Amino acid sequence: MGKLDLADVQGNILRGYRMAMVRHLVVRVRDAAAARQFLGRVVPGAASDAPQVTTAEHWDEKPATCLNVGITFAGLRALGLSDSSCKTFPHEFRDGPVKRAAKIGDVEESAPEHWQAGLDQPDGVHMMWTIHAGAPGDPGAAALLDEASNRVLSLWSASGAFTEVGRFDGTAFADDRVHFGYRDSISQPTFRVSRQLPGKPGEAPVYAAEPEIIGGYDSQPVAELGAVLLGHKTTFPDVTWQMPQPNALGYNGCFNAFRVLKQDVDGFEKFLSTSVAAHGKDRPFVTEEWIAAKLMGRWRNGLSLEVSDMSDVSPWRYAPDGTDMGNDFKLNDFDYTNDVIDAVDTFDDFEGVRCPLGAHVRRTNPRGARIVQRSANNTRRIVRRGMPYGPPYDPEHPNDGTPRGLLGNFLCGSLIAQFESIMYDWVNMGLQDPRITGTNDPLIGANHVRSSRFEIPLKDSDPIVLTGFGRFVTTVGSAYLFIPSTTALKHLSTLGS
Amino acid sequence: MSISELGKRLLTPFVLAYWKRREPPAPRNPVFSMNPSDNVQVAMNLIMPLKDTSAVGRAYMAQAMASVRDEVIAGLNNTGIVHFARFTIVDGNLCMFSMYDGDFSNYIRDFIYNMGSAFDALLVFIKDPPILPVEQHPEEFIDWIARHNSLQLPDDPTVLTDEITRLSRRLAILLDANTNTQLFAYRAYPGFSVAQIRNELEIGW
Repeated sequence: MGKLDLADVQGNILRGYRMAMVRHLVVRVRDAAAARQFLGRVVPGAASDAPQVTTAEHWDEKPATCLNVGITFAGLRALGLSDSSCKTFPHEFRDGPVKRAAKIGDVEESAPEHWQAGLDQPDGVHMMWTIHAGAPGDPGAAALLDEASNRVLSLWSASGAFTEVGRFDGTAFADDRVHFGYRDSISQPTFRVSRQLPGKPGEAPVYAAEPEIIGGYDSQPVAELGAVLLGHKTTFPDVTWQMPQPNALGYNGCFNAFRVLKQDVDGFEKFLSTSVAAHGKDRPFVTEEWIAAKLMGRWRNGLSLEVSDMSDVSPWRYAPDGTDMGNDFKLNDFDYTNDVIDAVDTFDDFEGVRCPLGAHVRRTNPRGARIVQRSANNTRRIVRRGMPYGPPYDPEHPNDGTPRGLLGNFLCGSLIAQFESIMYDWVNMGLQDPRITGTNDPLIGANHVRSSRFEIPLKDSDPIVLTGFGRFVTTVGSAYLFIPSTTALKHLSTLGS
Repeated sequence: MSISELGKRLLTPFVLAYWKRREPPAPRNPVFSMNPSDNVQVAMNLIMPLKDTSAVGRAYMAQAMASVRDEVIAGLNNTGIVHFARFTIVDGNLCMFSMYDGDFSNYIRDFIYNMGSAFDALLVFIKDPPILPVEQHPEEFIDWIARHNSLQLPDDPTVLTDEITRLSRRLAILLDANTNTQLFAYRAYPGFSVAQIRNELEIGW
């Protein structure tokens, strides 16, 4: 359990806002002094007419819009951060995603030379301002979003602080669905914090005696705060990450791998139907939905294959008296092994007969399953915040030429130890289990039509082996961002003064 | 020594210095590949100068190694990705030659996680050690290991055709900056991870 001042932490890290729309404004610092001044104006509580950065502090009423900011390494330099302080940032963050592209599989059609909105030129990308707007389903969300972004844009234009180099808009779909039709945002690390209570300035902070649980209950261990926030205990016992200096800058900060991921929905749907045509003969259970579930490790409605392996209706859905309890019971409370204490009704799925070993959710978070790197079961967990962009796929108009995909934020305390390790060792190599080593994640991996392979083990017969699929997800932009605390924003606003 | 040999020896540092100014040696960043077989059985040749290279100093090193041997074996076993590791003293250096699967920094981080305290005990006898304990300074330790890891020339000789057919400036300045260099490595079963081999042999992974 970590002690935490929620007002010091930006609000999009520990919790999702669950709002209707998002706009990411990618900017370059035009005038460093004006940029620093703007940072000072958006710090919560600053006497200013500018919008305020949203923190993790509890709100009684959900605001209409939220504002957050992440800064690239080039951005910290552009703000005037000293060389000695810059050097204290981890080298993968200093490198940025363009230099790290080969490591995380951003090659060929995903290579940085194809990236959009200036993200291929990392020196010119300094910050990303993120605005969330509207309650889910609110028809006025677009107007709220425009109003909020026009407000900051006009302030920048008046002061000369920033120049917009690109923007990405996303819209939440009903029921947390994303393109490819899956329900997303189900599994996130759960944190236990002792919240700092409001006090008087100058007095020693006082923390609530009762711990607060942030996140849902599942059978996975509660994550250390250091999984996402610097300066706290990390997920590696006794190992602490280097914190950017001074402490006022690093403490309660977070790293974010922002990724714009284009999804080939038509290619994906066609692959499902060709897979059924190829493997469904004499196997009535092989349907498009079943193949989709095996690739992900969850049915498209979110239900895990470990909870229900042959139907997307949960065995817990109907009470003995017939009452419909909904499909979400044990939505995230499952494991791939039955060794885990407290996980009731789990199966020993070592062979991957329920959830394939290479399925997306099992690959990227093996939970308690036996894996090669024994220390990595729970040490690489990250927080994912994303929203789709582009309209939903319409099978009536399969090749509408409209780009669609996901605006993904992958938040962690160490990009190299968490995000990059997942991408390199697990997504694109399958090092965690010898039975999948040499294959890539079927959904987000850097797959080639000639070498791709996905094995679906079956209980009583040889596995179904899917081949001949390429990339369904292409990276069209990425930025490594530091999400500073409000204390750090104040610190940055006073640089050079 | 012939006059031409003497001339070559005397001139070499000046020629190299001139070349380096024109073309600095390439940094030794890890090379990432999308080919899975390039990412398993990766070599690490760690060369760490002993503080005391005398027989007594080497004896201390041998004693320290004996005292942490079990922890090192258990730790390496626990990483699950190490094919073999040999600890050898060569010319006053403690050398650790190993083959591992996957990412370099993950390997070293697993080191820290699984046998950080054993390494702390060994590093006491090393000249200019990293900041100890390594658990509290993982990034510094990873950088320190990277600096003490030998340069590795590509295993594929076609990459080096130009350098091999004529003694190029690039190769000379690279080897000037990196005294210790792996020229190439042989693999009897290329492309297989530790766990794949152990799984095939049914000895557990």
